Amino acid sequence: MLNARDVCPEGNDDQQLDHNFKQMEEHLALMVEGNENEDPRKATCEYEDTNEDGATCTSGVLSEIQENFGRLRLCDVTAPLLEFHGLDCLQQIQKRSRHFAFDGSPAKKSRSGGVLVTGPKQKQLQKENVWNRKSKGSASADNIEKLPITIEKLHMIGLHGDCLEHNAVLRLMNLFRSLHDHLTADLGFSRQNSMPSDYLFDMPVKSTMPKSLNVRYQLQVLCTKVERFLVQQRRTLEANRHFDFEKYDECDKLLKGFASYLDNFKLLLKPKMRNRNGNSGSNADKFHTQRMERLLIGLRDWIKAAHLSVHVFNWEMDLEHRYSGAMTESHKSLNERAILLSGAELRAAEARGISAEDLFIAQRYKLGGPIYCVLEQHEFLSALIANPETYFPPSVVAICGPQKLGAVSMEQPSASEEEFEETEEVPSSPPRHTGRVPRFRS
Amino acid sequence: MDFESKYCTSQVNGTITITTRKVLDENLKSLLDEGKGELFLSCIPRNHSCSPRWIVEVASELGEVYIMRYKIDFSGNSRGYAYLQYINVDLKESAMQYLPMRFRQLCMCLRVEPSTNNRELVLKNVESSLRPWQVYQEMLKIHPFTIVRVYEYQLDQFFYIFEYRNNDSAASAHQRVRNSIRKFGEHAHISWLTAENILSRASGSFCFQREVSQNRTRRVPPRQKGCFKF
Amino acid sequence: MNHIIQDKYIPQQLLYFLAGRRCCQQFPCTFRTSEHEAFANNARSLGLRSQVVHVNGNSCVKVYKQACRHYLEEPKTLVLSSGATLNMFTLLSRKSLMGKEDLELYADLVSMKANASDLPSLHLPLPAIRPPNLRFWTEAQLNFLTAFLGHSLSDEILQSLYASRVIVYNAALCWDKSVFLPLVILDDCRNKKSNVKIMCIERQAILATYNSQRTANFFGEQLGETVGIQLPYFSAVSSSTFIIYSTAQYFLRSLTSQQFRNISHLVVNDVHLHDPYTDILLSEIRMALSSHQNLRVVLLSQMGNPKKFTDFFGEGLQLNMIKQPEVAPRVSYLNELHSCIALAGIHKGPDIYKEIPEAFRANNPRNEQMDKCLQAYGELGTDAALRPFLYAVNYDLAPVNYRHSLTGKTAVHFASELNKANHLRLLLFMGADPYIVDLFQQNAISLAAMNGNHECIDVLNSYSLHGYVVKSAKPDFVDYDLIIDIMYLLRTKPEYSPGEYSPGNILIILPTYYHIVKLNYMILSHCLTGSLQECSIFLLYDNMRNDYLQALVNASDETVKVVLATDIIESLCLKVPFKYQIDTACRLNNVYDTTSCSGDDRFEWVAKDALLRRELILQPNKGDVQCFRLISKEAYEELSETSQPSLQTMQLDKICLAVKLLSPNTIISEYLGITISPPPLINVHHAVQFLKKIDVLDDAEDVTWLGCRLMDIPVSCQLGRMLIFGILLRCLDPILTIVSSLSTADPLGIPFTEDIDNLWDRFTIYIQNSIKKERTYLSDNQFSDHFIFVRLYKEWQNRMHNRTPPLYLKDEYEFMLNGLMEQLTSIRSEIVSSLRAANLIHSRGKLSMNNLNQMSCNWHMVKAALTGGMYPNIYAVDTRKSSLKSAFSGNVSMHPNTVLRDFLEPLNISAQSFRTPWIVCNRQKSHIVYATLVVPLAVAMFSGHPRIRLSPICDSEMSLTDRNVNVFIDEWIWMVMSKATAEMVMRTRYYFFKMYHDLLKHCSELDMWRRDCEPVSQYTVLTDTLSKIFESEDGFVGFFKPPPITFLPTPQLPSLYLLSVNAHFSWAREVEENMLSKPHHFNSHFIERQFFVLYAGGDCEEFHSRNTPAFIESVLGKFVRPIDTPNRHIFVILYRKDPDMMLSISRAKFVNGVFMLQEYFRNNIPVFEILDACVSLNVQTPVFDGRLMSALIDKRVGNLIMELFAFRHHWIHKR
Repeated sequence: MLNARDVCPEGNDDQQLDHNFKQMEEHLALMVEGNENEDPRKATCEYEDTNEDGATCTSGVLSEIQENFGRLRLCDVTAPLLEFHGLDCLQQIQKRSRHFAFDGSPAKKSRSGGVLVTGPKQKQLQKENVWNRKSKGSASADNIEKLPITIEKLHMIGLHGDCLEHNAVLRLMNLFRSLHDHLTADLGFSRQNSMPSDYLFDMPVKSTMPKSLNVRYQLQVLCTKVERFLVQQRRTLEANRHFDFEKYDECDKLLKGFASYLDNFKLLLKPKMRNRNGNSGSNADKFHTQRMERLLIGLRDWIKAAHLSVHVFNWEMDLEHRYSGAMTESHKSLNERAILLSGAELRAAEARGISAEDLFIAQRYKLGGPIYCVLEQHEFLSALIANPETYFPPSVVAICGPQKLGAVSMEQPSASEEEFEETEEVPSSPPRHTGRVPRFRS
Repeated sequence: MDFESKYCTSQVNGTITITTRKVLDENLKSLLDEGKGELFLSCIPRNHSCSPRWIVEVASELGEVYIMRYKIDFSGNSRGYAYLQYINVDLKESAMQYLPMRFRQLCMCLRVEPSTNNRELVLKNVESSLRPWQVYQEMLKIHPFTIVRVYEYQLDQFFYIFEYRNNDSAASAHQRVRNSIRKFGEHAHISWLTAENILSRASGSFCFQREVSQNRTRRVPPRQKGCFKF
Repeated sequence: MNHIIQDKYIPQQLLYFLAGRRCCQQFPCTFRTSEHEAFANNARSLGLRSQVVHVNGNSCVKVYKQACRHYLEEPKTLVLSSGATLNMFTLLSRKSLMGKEDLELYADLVSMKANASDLPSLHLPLPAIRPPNLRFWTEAQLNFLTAFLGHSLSDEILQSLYASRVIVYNAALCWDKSVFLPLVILDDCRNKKSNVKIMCIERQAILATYNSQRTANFFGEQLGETVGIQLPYFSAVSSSTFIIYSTAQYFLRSLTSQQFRNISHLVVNDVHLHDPYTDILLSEIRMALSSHQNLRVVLLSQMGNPKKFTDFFGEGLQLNMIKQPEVAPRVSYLNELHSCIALAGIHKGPDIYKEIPEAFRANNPRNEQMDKCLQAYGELGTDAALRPFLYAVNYDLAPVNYRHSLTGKTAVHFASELNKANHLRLLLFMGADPYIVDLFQQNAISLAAMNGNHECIDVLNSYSLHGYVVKSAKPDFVDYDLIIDIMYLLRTKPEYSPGEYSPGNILIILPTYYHIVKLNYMILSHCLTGSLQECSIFLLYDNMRNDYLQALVNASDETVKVVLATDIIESLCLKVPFKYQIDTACRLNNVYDTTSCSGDDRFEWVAKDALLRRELILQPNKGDVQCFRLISKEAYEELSETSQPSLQTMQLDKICLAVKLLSPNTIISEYLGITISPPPLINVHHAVQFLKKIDVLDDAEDVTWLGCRLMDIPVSCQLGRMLIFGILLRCLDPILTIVSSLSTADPLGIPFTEDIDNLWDRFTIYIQNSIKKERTYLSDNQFSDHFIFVRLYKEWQNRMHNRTPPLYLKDEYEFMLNGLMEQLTSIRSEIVSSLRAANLIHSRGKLSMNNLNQMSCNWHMVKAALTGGMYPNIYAVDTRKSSLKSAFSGNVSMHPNTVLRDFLEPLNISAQSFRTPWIVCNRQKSHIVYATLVVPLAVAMFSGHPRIRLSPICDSEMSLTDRNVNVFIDEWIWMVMSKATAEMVMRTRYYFFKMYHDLLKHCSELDMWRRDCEPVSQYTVLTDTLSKIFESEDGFVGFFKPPPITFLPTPQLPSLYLLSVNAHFSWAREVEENMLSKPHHFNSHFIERQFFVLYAGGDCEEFHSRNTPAFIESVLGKFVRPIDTPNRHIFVILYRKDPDMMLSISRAKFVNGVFMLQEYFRNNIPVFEILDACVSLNVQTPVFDGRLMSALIDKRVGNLIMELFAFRHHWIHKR
């Protein structure tokens, strides 16, 4: 093995270096001389004169290109061309364009000016623009006085400050939408109780309202739907006629009133409803719209009353007359369970305090933070301590269970007893284990 | 002769190309490849009513088509323009008369103009640590070009004009350079050379150029300054 | 009637509700005001809470149980800052915006459905179908064909193709079916002169590229002649193309317009893997077979019994070529592996770090708290006292084996000492180790025995009786150390490789890219320190660039290859022979969980059939091969035969969208119900509901414009929506970074103990704290984890100085960061090109990249875009109950990862510093992993349905006299604001969503966005104003001004960092440089290493820039040249003075006679570390005296220094 010390005794590095440098310099000097001697002899061609006011770096570029000449593959005929224009070249263009100006080439001049001369000017213009814009902005800001924004100002920008809909047609559309919702409302909603209440579990809603801004058309659709709705309610009502006549009579009156209201309502269909882009034109139209709104709101109230009464009547009769014994039983038990649960709700309504023990731990061990964290996850942690088996896969639970047949072990299952006896005095020697511990990414 | 045996259709990324299957002689082929007599068709409707095949069929009523490049977008619709070349270069003029008329007869208002055959790209704001010869090499790695012109507009500040063989290869070069533009520094920028750029004209008329023959280039004395060309 | 309703009906309904599963219920709008009161009174008496809400212009009663997480205790107020009000006012007062009220946008009135004719379809012009006019095969081609395993059966295959329209061809991977079959079919059609066009459908783009390339090579042509390819960003076909490769997803997109016209044969590869899009393609094919009589379908699979496919089609033949292999490879499982490694007595790894005292524990509040938790448990021993510790382990990533700083006791010690058998069992389940010895040399077992705690002794006994059952086997964590151990076993202990010693290629199968990168560094560091023999490392993973695959294909046979791959290896037919296979046997699966309503990443064991397929990659017939499975034998026995098709487990948002575009008139659940692997109905229902919520589908389940645009963007719908908001608010660049960060692994995620290598896992708490600190530093008081993504990416980019990452190594974290960022940039550029393809980014005009990034420097705009994009994942802090409320009823807690919360910090403490109650976040299961606090205005502006109007959702009729108004934006978002504010906000919102709609509908009309025409120029004004508004809101709420995010508009080429690093350090390179004929002449065990130290004035950068290679050679060359031989490597260690640091270690070598330094590691390591080590090892210390060149230093010291560099831990040694 070579030791560096043989080559270079300690402390001589610097000397050695100097020596190396000297050698290199000499070598370089030789090369330079050689070039100088060669050049005049071999330069057989004459060069044209060049302007001496060129950039100094051009020669640098040229020599660089020569240095890398081998890598440029210029001997290759197919190699792409390289054309180089130094700084002086551009300066010359400028000079000449100035020179030729009186010959009358304004286009070129302006163009060259655009590119090369007026750079700073353009910048200045830009700055001015920016400044103008700013001042304009501040001016417009000044026009509007400072806060608070009053109702008058809101009116200026077409708002009203009362959050009501001011477009008559849209108001009508809102009503139509609402009426359709009422017609499709499902009062037998208790069957949804088996699902969680996140939007992801919602059942898709069939929206039956036509997508159109034509009021007349909307009205027609609505009327047919309301009629159908009435027929439906009537059918439900008639099914319960024989159970309780008093209540039947009450509902019957309601439905009859509803029907007569609807007949009045239909009279409105006759005059033509016109609207252009949501702006009703004449005063007559406006009056008409208002009247229609009133009527629609009335209709909505009728729908509400009729639907509720008939549904509840039917529901009550179901409960009293149509339920079988088993059904009533389950209904009863459900109610009892619900009342128990309501007790729990009432208890939960009182803010859950921190338990005495937790408080003690928090104070005694200065564990305030962790204890409050625990409170946030109280249910899970308590359940985990109470029933650990439910939270781990069976293969993990088996670790602490009695031994399986499949386990790799030399002893008989019965040997566990003896093992137990032994452990009283001497703990069993730990088997070799690896550093890894199981953990689930939770 | 049916269409299939006469022409070959192919699609690579955004271009549908319909080429003649005829074997041409080398000189003519290279002339055509340089974009001689190329026509530019525009106002092609976006839907499929005007398929490339249909255009070629109409165009070949006049003479045999050498190549047609029809540009499509990602969903396969036309991007509104196409390039067309006849084998017979001289047909260009008559085609500009005849084709618009013929298209109008067929209820298609396509415009036919001579193609500018723009094949030059400008590379600007290259990082100053990269020397021109390095740029030359890097660009050569990305896509082969025919000529590069280097202009020094300030001390040690260059911009480069690369000329490619034809518009098609310039377009693909543009795409590829743009993908690896960061090789040339943070602010480097590649763009098409527009006609207004004075320097492209200047280089022809005013520029002081000097031919340096190959055997001499190696020993240009360092005092010499100016322009040169390989 | 009325009193029955009020006294009987309503109470009964409330009881039903109480007994049911719901936590809150909205009652129908039919009830009247009088009934509302009845509801309120009855609810109160039952302990429920009630509220009147306004939905769609109707007021309804809503009733809540106490535990309901949708109920806000009080409405959130929205007060605008004066600046925002002023700006909004100015915006609304613009004459041009006021114009005529235009009703176009009002949701329920005008259909917003995208017309079927407008749907963006892919029109891939397949050339007309015709008979091939090919030359006959050449000699070489014939030879190539006969080399296929299936060659002898080609007649049989063709016969069955004539006989039936569908055939299932079942054979192992090495049969190379998807290249062979098309050739056979083409050959046959050429002979018969029949029409032919073969579509080959692959699972992934990279497979299509690879196979098409090989087929094209067979013809000796470029792609696009006889063999074509059609992929989203690369397609080449021509009229002479007969075989076209594509992916299932892309082919499905073109089906809508193309149907199955112009196709004679359809070859679908890898059907057994049940890729979701392949499954959908199969049902499309089944439908098509009825109308296309002549279509021939070939399904390629590698499974035990392909009967299910013929059953699915109701016709077809099976060709089953899978037989039991005569020779099976030797398979060893975890149990044997451990004993084998224990016997082999592997000496590996750095000695120097094993000695480190546990110095990182002191004066750290988290350690103190953990100690307190243990102390409390030890002294009290009650359930309540155990809970804080359990919390720390379960929610705060504390190690379950945490040892008390003073006594060294763990929780198990205390449990067995106190005789708490149930606690002990729980702790053991959680993975506690009872054999850990405390400072008094006691372990849990001896403590239990000492105190005579019989119950505990029982438990511990049965635990220890399970003896050699290895307890470390969980699919969740990959045991990197074990893999390295096996590598040592194979490479340094010839006696364990059977037969005579011959180094073989090693295939290591890992679950994800993240694991690949991490293992890559570990192997590299072991190789570079010389403890493992040199090898060449190659990587194969999903979505890789073709270069990675080509590097492996083109690698010379001489070198030993170590290939790290994900399960894509099961579909890649490589010609590389493998001798060993290390299979982690686990995979990452994104599973949709209907209880937490989110897609969770889960690590699972793969099924038995997958293990078998992987085994066959080894090609056992070719000689002695060995397979190591990192799963215990018992666990293997319990695996299922086949894994569940991913359609049945995955999140279905993109699938639903794809289905809807394929058949617009079918109900999604019906369509998916008849696929070959029908997903559970509830999953489909959830996906559809979710898509409706984010406006991808409308109420009637039709695709909206948003849906049309998101189809081709390769991210989930939620993230796609975020991109759209980024475009609308013109801050695309940061949003892109966030979206692509969310789709890759996080380099700054807080690790579990199990994620940390054996060398460092004692310092888990310290490492976790350091990473947390880094996160806090990066988030810069912005209360945002998404900001960290942006900062991290920018800082990484700036460090690159616009160049590709350097090839020397620093430490594992840096390496992983570069690797993950490589993936991030490639995803990023893929997203950008897909946005371009979808016409959402134009090359010029208003939607050009530059224009879309005008606001990129404004973090407040990015936050606004996040709010709109992440909806409905919005949470609100309810201070009164100190809990989080949201649209999801599950209990949610903040993961320690997020900067909004510190370790062991309860919500009410963290919430004190929050500037606003609104949190936008990403969840994993029930943990909020990444969160950002946002301004209330952003929630009011961007959440909820795009087309809500003010009057139907507020209670203005009820509060005519009030100044304020309640607004119900959503089923749970409830705000109160002044009426003027409400009107202005809703009007601005209306303009914003008008822009949203215009963009989505008209983005493909390029001209509209080029010219400065009316609506488009208005939009510029709108976003500018929005920016000002949100800026003043941010200041008003009290956010600090964020540091400006600089943004670089130019796209960057993915740098292929890992590829270049692995090539740089590969053994192949070594061989090449030395021009050796064979590498066997020497291996690294006969290689001697010599070390020099060299003084560098400043740091490495300076040193290398100041000194030319020539200079360095003049200094070093004369020492190195004489002693450098292939069997002796010379290393140079650079160091500096004041502070005394070692800077880098490089190998000095001569390549073709030219001297060069190949830098291995570069880092800053204080000199005292090595001096200490020298003293402890009793070795002469090297001299670091600032002279230029010092003599050789002791080899052992040199190796120590090398190890110091190689195994440094970023977070522990961070200064």
